[in-house]
Amino acid sequence: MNSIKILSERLVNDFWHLVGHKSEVSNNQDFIKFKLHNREIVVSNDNGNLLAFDNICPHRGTRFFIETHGTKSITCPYHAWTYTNGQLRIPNKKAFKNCDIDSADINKFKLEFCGDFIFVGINPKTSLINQLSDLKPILEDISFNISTRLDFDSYSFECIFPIAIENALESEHVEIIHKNTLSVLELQQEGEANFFGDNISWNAIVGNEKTNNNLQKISKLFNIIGQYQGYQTYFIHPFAMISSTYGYSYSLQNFFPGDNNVTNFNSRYYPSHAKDGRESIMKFFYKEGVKMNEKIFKEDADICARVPQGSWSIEMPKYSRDIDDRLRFYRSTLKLILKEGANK
Amino acid sequence: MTKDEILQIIANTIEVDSVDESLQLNDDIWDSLAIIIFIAAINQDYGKILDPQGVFSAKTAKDLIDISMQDL
Repeated sequence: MNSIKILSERLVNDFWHLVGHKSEVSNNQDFIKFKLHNREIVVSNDNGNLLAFDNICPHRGTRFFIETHGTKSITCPYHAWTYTNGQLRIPNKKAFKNCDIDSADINKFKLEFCGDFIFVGINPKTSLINQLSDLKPILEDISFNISTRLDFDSYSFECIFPIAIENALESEHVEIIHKNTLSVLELQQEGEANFFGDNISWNAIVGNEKTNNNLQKISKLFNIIGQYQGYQTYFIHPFAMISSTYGYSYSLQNFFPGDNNVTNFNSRYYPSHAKDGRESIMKFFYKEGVKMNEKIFKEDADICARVPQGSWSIEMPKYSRDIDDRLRFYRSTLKLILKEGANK
Repeated sequence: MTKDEILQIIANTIEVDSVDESLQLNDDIWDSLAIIIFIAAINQDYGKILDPQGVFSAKTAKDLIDISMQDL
């Protein structure tokens, strides 16, 4: 088995995955769906209880949901097996005499929270608290700043997942690839990286003076907990990134391993709580933010598609800038996991 | 709310000392952040919430005066 396949399986099965925010599934039958390696996972609100499960009906293996998100009952469209109020309801159950029909259930996964963020684990080898390390209180604050979800985008990056993640972990490409988008912030290249277990944060000052002044001016419209007045990204091991400028909104990106040289990418845009009555003022700003993020991620997808699988290895990159410590840290983490598994 | 007061809010928004009604709101000075700052200032000073799309569509400072003073 090649290293990417082994890594994918270990990272998918052995760790917790940040998959969304409680506000996305706040009403009964709200759901979000993800493709994680060779399976689809659904998080759904079952009359107030959140649960994570395989998107496969235990009866004939039909997918419950096709859409990436929405509001629908957990009902198989094939024979109407339905999960509700914590139970699987099987039509004409008495007809299933010569099988242990009472043991039939959906395949559930572990689900935990960090603040209002939702984490799912298939067979995690460590606790969520351990995995998040000292990033936990920071993530909690971010989750409490978020008011709702405005955008859910989902498509494939035509590259293996470490290429997509490493692209998100280095700033060298920003000026070239994001010339008319992210680059307008003129982010300070070095930034400041911090490491929390396998997780990474990176803060960078907004170098464009006019934009920075304007960003400071709208600060009074918000109550941001733990605000950093600049650009921030968080890599939440193993597949999630959160980025934000001044904490006015947050973008969550997942780079899940897919089949054959593909990364299953999805992104969410979460506005922060504006002060009372100011939400309507911010709507326009958020609309622009969604558009900008869509462009940035497409630019990333396009350039990542030009990096073939054979260009990546578990070894340290031969050439990397001194300031690209996030990239080297990530690769060393993967190398340890490949060598020793989740209990490294 | 007077025309001069609105012109001063526009000037503060784009960080210049003063502007007149003929000021062209091109992309260099009138981006989404400037729009929000202007709307927030009008809201703070006069309690009025302007339609962001209308402010976005404004081509000159005079357009902004008209939008701001509408329905007064």
